[in-house]
Amino acid sequence: MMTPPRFLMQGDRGMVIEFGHEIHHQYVEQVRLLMVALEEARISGVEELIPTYRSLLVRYQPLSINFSELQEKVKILLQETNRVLAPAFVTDIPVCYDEDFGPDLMDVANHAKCTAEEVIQIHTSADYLIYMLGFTPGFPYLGGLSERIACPRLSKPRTSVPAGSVGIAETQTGIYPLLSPGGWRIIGKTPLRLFDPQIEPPVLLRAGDYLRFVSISREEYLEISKQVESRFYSAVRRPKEVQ
Amino acid sequence: MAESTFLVVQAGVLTTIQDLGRFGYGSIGMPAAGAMDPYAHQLANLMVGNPPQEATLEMTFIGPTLVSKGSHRIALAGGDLGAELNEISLPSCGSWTMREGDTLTFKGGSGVRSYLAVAGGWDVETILGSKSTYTRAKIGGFQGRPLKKEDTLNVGNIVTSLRWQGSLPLNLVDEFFSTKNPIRVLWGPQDDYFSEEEKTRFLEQSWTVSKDSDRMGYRLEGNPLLHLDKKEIVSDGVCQGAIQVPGHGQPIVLLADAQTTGGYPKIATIISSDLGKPAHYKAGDFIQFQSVTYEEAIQILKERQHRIRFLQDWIQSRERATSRLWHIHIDSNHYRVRVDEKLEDE
Repeated sequence: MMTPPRFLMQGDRGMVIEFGHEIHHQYVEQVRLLMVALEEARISGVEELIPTYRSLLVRYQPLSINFSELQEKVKILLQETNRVLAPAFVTDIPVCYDEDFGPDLMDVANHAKCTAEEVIQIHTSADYLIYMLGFTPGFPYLGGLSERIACPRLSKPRTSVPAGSVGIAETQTGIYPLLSPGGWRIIGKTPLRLFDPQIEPPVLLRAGDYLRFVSISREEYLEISKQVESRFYSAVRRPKEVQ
Repeated sequence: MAESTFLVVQAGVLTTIQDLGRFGYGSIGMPAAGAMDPYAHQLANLMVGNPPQEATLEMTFIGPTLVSKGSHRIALAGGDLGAELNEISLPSCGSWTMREGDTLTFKGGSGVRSYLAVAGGWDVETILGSKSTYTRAKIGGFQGRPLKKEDTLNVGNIVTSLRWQGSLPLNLVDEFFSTKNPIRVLWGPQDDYFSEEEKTRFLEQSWTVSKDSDRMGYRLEGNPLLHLDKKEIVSDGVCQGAIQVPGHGQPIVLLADAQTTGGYPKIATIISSDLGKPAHYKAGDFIQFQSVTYEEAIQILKERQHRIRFLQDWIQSRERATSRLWHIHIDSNHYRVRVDEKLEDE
């Protein structure tokens, strides 16, 4: 039996349905199943759904449906258990881990009491589940980072992190699709574009799929950058093997 | 066909096309963007007869210099940016006609943001359901960017029938833009990451708006807040108006261009009626917060909607009063006589 989720207010038009506090496969599945159920239910007054690792944010119009009315409807949906999720793919993400692309790589290595090479080796040897896209368009929040290289966020976020930067925050790893502020430890950079409004779909990755980081040299980085610039590069994708 | 455009002679400090936001794409991480003050934005539209969600120009500190090609009805709403029409000073909230060749300038004033609506709307491409500019991703609005010198803005073809011109009495709109009162918040969703003493300190102190403040968020400076234990959460969803507190204890108010998810505890969230308030604060200003209950927030929201309806009616009543046209026949002569009725409170 699962523990029932908590219903939290985020202002007068946000409801957070929180399944747990940590990253856990079970919460992810509960979030995605509830999201599918809410999309199908088309509750009047519900404007937008934002899924995360462990919670679902529902933005609603409080003059159409109030918090407690919405809570009752969600509780009914949570009792339905007959939905399944679609099969998954793995996308390769080339990353150059050179020092100027990954200014925090040494800090992460020091924190893990290992070498930079070991951090790279660990970072590139797993398929990461894309739990959600968020923060800015196309930013993938990934599960499956080894505890060995987990590292706290910067206590003062940077005001500017370049697009393509690959970072670590606690047990999460991710990629910044756009130049933006951010507090993650930056360990490398991918030449791929995670968000491109000129192509359809505008995001490279999809929640529920996987990705794998592949270490590349500076020369390869520059070569792929050129191909991406002229939109000749196509990302390597393959079906996820069922274990 | 007559030209229906505005020439941008000067761009202003930061002038972008915004509407009520690009909602519905939060699940791919698309920030909503939209007007920093959605109420000022709606008022500007209301004064030219546009629908409330139509795009306006969001102007910051100093607006653009615009020359009218063709005749247009325009409206301004928001802070006082020192607007002048052909060098004659305009009130901060009102509607006027710009004729061919007329020039609208801004010399700057006490205000931070103001919205410029044109009858018919601004004609830009709708991307993912919105005309809002989201500059970080270079999408929406005018080529995904703030206006530049020598741009040409096209006027849209939304049909409007309103002919009212004049200014809204400041006492009717002051509550929308005033920075005198505390900004009202609801606690949470992560106020349990802070002790009651820290929550009290959050409300009691005046926070200074930092210069690292933009459409994405306002960083506040003051006596740092202490977290009870953890300084981070596993990222969850973010609403505009959420106030997150990173490890260093200085709050960040997330605004129009806010990210869709975030990993710092959110001590409180600005109620939707006050969401536009931060837009009228600038670096160095003091912000104070006041907590309200959910029921109070809903009541305030209802009153806000009544106020908007009241302003709409107020404009309509003047419309009826000012637009009476008489056709008079005297002997064989036909006269058209326009009578401008004087209302009691004018």
